[in-house]
Amino acid sequence: MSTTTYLIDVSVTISIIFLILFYVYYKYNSTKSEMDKIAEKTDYVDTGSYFRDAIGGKNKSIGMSAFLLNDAKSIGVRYIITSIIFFFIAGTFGVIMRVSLVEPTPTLFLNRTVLYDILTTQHGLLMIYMWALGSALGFSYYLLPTFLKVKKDSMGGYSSAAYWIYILGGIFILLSRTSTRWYFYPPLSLNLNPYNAGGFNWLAVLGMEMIFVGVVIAAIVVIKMIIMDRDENVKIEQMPLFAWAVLFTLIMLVASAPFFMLGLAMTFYDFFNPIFFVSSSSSPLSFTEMFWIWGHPIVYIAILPQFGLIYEIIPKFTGNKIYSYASGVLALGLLMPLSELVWGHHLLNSGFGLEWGLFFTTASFLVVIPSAITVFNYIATLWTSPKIRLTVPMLFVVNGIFDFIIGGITGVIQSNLVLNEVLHGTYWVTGHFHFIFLGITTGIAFAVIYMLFPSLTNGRKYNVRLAHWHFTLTAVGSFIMSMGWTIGGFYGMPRFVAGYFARFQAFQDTAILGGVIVGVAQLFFLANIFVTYSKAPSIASSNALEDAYNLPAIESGGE
Amino acid sequence: MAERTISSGILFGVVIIILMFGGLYYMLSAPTTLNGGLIESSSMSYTKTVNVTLYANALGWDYGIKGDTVNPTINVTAGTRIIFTVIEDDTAPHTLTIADSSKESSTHLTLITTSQLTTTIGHTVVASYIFDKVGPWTYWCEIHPTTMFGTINVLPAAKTSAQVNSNSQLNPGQIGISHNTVNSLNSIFQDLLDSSGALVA
Repeated sequence: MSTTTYLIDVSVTISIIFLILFYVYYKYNSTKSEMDKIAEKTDYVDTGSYFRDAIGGKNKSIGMSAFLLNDAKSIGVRYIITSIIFFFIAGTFGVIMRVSLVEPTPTLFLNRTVLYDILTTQHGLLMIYMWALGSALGFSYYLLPTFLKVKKDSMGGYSSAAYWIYILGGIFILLSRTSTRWYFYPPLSLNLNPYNAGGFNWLAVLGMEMIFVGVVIAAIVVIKMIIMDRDENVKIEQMPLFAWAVLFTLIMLVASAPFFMLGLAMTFYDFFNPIFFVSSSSSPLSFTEMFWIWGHPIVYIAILPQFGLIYEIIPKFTGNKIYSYASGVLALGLLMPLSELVWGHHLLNSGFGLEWGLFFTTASFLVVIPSAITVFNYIATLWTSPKIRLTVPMLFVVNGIFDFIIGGITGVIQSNLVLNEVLHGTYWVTGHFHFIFLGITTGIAFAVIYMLFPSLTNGRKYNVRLAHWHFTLTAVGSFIMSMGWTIGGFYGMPRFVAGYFARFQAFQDTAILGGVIVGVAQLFFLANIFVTYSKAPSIASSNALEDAYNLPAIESGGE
Repeated sequence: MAERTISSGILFGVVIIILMFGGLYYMLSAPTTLNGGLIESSSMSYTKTVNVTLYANALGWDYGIKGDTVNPTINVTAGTRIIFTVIEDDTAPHTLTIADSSKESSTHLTLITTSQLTTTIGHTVVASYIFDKVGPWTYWCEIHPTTMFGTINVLPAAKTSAQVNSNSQLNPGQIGISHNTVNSLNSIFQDLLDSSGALVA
């Protein structure tokens, strides 16, 4: 097939998507204008919340109505739905990628190893931007109005627009079949040749830019929600730790996103007139620096909200308060500036000088301090609790702390200026961040989804046996997979390649075993949805995370 | 209400499964052959070898090298292997891209990429290609497609075999390279360049 055919395919797909969106918008707008008239008559402050209340109380469950309503809860549900969908899409890519490495010589992708590059890129981009960032934004939108007792939703229209821009950007990235890795380094990203699957790199860059626009708008709305829409009774010094975590995360996001947005815009210009990164007076290294000023904070953006969520989950299953609220806030606050200063440790091998290398190595070691404060805070809370109820969300939390310790230590080791010469570009790095992303990002996200299950499914209990299988296989599989990579990487196993030297086969096969186990584990989650929905709702559609914040207000005669 | 929520949850799961396999199918059906079969296989044989030297300049291939002419037309017979020697002549990035039609085509093959040919003046990159298909071919620079644009005529082997000596250096007289004259705008640019060069010197 030629490029023209692909262009036609893509344009037809996009046109259909736009048609659907326009129809949905038309239906929504015509309903909303009627509702707005009624809301004005009945003296509602915010028309969006009237819309929500009129359709049937606080709408929280999974369904199409979440895509039509503009209140914070519905937008949170939207983000959660799409992040789960993209998690499964990108997860499938990951498992197929793993399976293709069963032999040192490419088997599944023989003579078309570019498919491996595409799958790597898509797996990374979708997991980071659509799953980690999407689920974090979803939980923020969903939980913060309750945590902060927000009386009225505002800026719902902006949030909704931001969501649609964001999701369209994700779809563009999926359609682009780009193989630039998630770095978009030129000159590879400037390659518009259909071979190497670079034909639609421009679409990926455009999609990336749209994701940024959406996420930054959403971040500003949520920051405004935390700072300005809080109830007067919720003092900022008594704010839930999750709100602090989201606040620091989003400030970090807004502060560091412009660098990469600008870099992408310059890349896009370079498609037509390459003056920025590949001309005689410029260097691709300048792009890598613009990328990593954003690229390191995004890694923290993917875990900081989850740190906050751990602080919220632990008290529910241990029965005592967080050991030290102040040190929790301090640690989260320290992680924000420190993670902005360590981006250079991704470029220690690029030759930007020993002084910079020493600076970034030292700064990377400093990140240990707030991370250790956080982890010790968790451990102290667990240690001092009279009894720990090891339900599925709590198991995910304990496993997350365990994985974070391993992932954190491997991360500090590789930021060493000398060891980085050896470990750079090996599977050690992959192992390091999969420990953290599978343990903290994915694990805690599923813990929260299980805790919100009655609300999200409109009053259904999840099947505990299937959930236990989901947890056990995820924990065991991710440990086997990441450990295989970490050890293999220490022996020099290079990452990002579709084949490998035969002496690494033991490590690769270990990782394949783990990867397939992780993949199968997620099918148990999928099965859980089917099993749960095959039964009628049996319990109240409240959830443990939000109830704790609803109760005291009623006791003290709030509202 | 109950029936509606049941279907929405099941729908969610079904959508996930469909998108999992749909996404995988979409990714695995990505184009992996080089530009619609323009790649030369390792078993392809060739009868002659022709050397072509091209100076890569944003104002036109061979700009200012062979008088006032740019973008030479190259005539070869089918089965000829052309060894392109591309020399950077200005400081702009260039590619050498070919297609088997009389104009730029989506099924093209970039023989020399921007990352191979650096922007240092005088940098030389050699690439070769066996022209098997009879008909007009096009070569151009993907970055400057409006100025750096020329034709390769691949003629049937029997008729013109006498015209080409194997392993010979291609020169204008031998195989009838025709040249386009530089348009006046380019001359003005060249004058400007010359004067600025004189000023710097």
